[in-house]
Amino acid sequence: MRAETVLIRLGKAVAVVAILFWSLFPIVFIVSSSLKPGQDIFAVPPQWTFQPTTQHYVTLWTQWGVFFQGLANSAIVTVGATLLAVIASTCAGYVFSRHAARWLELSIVGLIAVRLIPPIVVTLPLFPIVNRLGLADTHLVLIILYATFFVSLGTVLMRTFIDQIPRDLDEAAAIDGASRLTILRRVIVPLAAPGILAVAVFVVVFAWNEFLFAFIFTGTNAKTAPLVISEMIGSIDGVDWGVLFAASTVQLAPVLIFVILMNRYLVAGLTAGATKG
Amino acid sequence: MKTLQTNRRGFLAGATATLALIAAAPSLAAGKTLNILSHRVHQTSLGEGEADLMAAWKQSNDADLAFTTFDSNPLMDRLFREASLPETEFGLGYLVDNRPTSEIAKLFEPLDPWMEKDAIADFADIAPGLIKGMTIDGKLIGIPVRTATQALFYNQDLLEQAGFSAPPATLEELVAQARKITDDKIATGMILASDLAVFPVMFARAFGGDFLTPDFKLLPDPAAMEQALTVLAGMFANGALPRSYATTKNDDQVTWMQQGRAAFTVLPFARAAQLNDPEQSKFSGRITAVGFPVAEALAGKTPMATVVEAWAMVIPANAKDKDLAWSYIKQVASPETTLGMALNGNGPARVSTFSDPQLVAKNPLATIEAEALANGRGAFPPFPEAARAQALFLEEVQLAVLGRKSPAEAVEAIAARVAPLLP
Amino acid sequence: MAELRLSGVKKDYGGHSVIKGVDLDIRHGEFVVFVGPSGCGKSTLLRMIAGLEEISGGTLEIGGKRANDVSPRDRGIAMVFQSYALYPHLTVAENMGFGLSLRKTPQAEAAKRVARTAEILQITHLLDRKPSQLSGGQRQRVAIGRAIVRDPSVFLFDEPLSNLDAALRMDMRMEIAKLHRNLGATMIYVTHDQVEAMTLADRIVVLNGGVVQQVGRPIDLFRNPCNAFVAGFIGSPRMNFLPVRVESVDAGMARVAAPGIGPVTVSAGRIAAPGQAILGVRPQILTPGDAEGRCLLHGRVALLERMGTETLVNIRLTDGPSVLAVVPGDLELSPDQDISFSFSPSDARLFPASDLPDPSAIPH
Ligand SMILES: Nc1ncnc2c1ncn2[C@@H]1O[C@H](COP(=O)(O)OP(=O)(O)OP(=O)(O)O)[C@@H](O)[C@H]1O
Ligand SMILES: [Mg+2]
Repeated sequence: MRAETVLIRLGKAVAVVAILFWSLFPIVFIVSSSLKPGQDIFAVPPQWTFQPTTQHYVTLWTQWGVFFQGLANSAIVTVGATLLAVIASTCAGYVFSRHAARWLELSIVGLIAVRLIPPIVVTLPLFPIVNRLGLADTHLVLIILYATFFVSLGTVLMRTFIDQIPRDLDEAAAIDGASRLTILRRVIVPLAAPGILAVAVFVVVFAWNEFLFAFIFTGTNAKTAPLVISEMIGSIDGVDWGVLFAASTVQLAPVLIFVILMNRYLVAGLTAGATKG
Repeated sequence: MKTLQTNRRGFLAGATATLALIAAAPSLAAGKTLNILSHRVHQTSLGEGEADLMAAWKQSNDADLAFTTFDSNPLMDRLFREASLPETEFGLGYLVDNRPTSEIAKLFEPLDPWMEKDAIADFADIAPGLIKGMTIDGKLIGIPVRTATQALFYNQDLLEQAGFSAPPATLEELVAQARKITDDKIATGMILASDLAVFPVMFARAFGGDFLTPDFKLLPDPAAMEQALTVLAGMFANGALPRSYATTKNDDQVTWMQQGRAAFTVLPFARAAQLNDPEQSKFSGRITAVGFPVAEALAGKTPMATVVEAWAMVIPANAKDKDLAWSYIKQVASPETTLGMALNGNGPARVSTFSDPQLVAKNPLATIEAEALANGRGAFPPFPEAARAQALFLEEVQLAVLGRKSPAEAVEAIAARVAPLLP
Repeated sequence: MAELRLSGVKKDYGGHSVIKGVDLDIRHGEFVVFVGPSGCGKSTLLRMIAGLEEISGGTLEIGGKRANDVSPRDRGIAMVFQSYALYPHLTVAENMGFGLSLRKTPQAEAAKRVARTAEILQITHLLDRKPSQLSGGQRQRVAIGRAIVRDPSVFLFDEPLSNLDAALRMDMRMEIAKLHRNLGATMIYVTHDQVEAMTLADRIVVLNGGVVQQVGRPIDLFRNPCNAFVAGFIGSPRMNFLPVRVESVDAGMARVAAPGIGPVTVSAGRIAAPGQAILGVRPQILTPGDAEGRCLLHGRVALLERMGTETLVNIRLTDGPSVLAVVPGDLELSPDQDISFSFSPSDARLFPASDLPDPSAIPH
């Protein structure tokens, strides 16, 4: 290590603080606002010290029961979509990785092209179809849509991950007595775990926060939390900001925790893969 | 590797089973269910549990109400989309009066035949202006159920600090008071959102003009609009409107008033509760309202035509059980339920409700709200290009208010740019 | 019983033919080595036997039954890969037990077999490690252990030792030979290395361009190569090939000459008429100096490699190509020195010129 001048060190520190501020400020703002007494949220100048209150959370619980139903729906849809997308992407990525054929290459281009179409273009024509199939306002329709939406990206990702697993391992397992499915389950999946987690993180974050599809295809039974939050923002009899921030905090927490937890595995998994003998 | 066997079936079976488990959906118990597309406000104003205003109706009809609620704009999108399907599960919707164009009105059941068959009690009591707003191409398509009438809110404390013991009676007084409060550095005189047509329209009406009349006359009195823009530009120039005017939103009006950062604003009467909410407001009990004042020249001659927004109940033409829906409408529009909802904070559509002693006791502003409502109307009538027309109008208004264009030029530009969009 | 029979086995990759019809019988318990230059199809042939590549034509029989469409796991084979192909996420014990667990072998039984195999290969102390914590040689042993533990009737090895250093390679070569003796299973072994081929094989199969050149015991291939390719491939250092003119052929003997050589009379082999031909002279039959009845080569020393026990002399012939001579013992020569070597004509082999369109194509 060369000695750094004070100026360079200071510069680095400032940069780090700036990045931290940039990425953490919105989160800190939302969480702290949810704990401020209503009067102080938009006080000018901003109140940095305040008596924390759980009042907004109580109001949220008593007046917006529908928000917690929304959270439950979001959870069901997120878990379902993530499982479906991860399973489908892994299977498809495996096929794309292990079989080279012109039409397969074409279909992967197709997969990516589909992803380039703005969702709304697909959504509106789907509306009558979903209604006809009786899927409107079900968890299933969102699970299928979210998974479908991510299978293309997921497949491409999984293909790249699985490409890094030597084919010799498939063949060794085949000779050891494994069927295709067993190879996938016992060799490919454990070794592609970092990729699977990466795909899962994408789908979880997307499904948990998605608004458009949920808005168009659900109403009551499968209504997700972001829809309820949007109702809070647009409330025509006035926004209760404290409750809104409380809801945002509750909505934010699970994904934030999930991403932080997964991030550790993701980084560990990726570096382990890189130095694998 | 081609000789390897794939166990696809086992795999699919597992995946399907997982999904089937997840997708199990709940179901309701009563004999019939009326599915309603509404804003949450409409649901809550009917009360819940013990205080459910519809309890008796539910029992006698053996019916349940299932509300699907959205925010206003998404709600309208969804309502129109549902109504354009071959058939919809939704028996009833809530519609804002600035949306039904001729095209959209066709999606909904004409209600005059239902009125003839089974009339709503004391129908004449519902404000005639509101009924007119829901009559499209000669057909009544919605029954008004909620009104939001714009009022001039002011902070009594701030006015007193500047030495004013009474709210302004004319527009000129309003400008002068706002100016003094600003100059005395007590607060910003007035806060208005820059992205809503309501405010310039109100100022133009205060001078006897308008943006677009119900019979689609664009700028019936251009001089009045020019005066309105001149006043707004003047307020901005001397700080009586916030420096941040260009980015000010409706929600800012509420927080600025609650924080005492502005002395005046224009909001619906119903917002009095939120502005004075002790949990949120630093001036709880000190923010009150009057009708928006007209200019001195018109005072005592022409009443102020304040902006009123109304919601109505509609039946999608493709709904399955219209009898149940009409029964619901009748119940909700009845004088008793109207009063019950008003006590829950809903702006009533019936004139008589405002003078009900119970409501007056609870809401001291009820009387002036009734007066304002009597002469009020929508900001402009619905037509297909309304959104674009509003955007062009606001663009020119902003240029004038910020001083980038003279009011006269702006008025000319409004006339030229909006005219081609009219039906 | 695990005898294998390949009849007219072919492999095409999209019209491009890689294995052009191989006929081969492998007896139970035999150790057969496939050799040949890179890209000649050794791995492809082995993988077809394993069931990892589809067979495009012909039939493969294992134990007397047609096996073309039998899946790899049902062929009763085990394979050791050049890359070892150990499962990185499993421990050594799990790697070795993987096949047993897939075949529903009871746990206790499986554990016993893994332990016994580990003992044979002396890797008991490694059982709990992951492959990434092993050296190359240890990984190799685990890979072999994984094959042995299932007790297959046929072992397939694809260049299993090519990633090891020379000393380790020799050790492992001896271990594999010992295993073969002890297990008595059929083994098919692919290698580039002709020392491995010579020392391990019961029979060697020499492949070139997807065609079997010769099959036979190592010593037979060494002594009686059927063509210049096999002659060049078997034996180390490589046989010298000298372009010559055949002047006459008579009673199985040919009279040949070239600039700086002969004329000399050698066994005619497959040569029937005068014309161009190739004279094959192994480096070991060249001795310094001249004697009665021997054929003399004259040139200059181009390169000298003194190994102590033997000396490799590269000689640039006066009017022709270079030849290599291996002389027992130490020989003191200086570069560029004039020198004469001679060989006994009866030790030389004559091949048609068509055997070697491009003599430099044979690798060392
Ligand atoms: N999947 C494939 N598609 C097309 N050609 C292939 C394929 N696999 C192998 N080949 C070709 O088949 C020929 C034989 O390959 P193979 O791997 O059997 O050679 P090898 O004798 O094992 O060589 P090496 O000693 O280098 O391992 C080569 O020319 C190779 O390019
Ligand atoms: Mg090979």
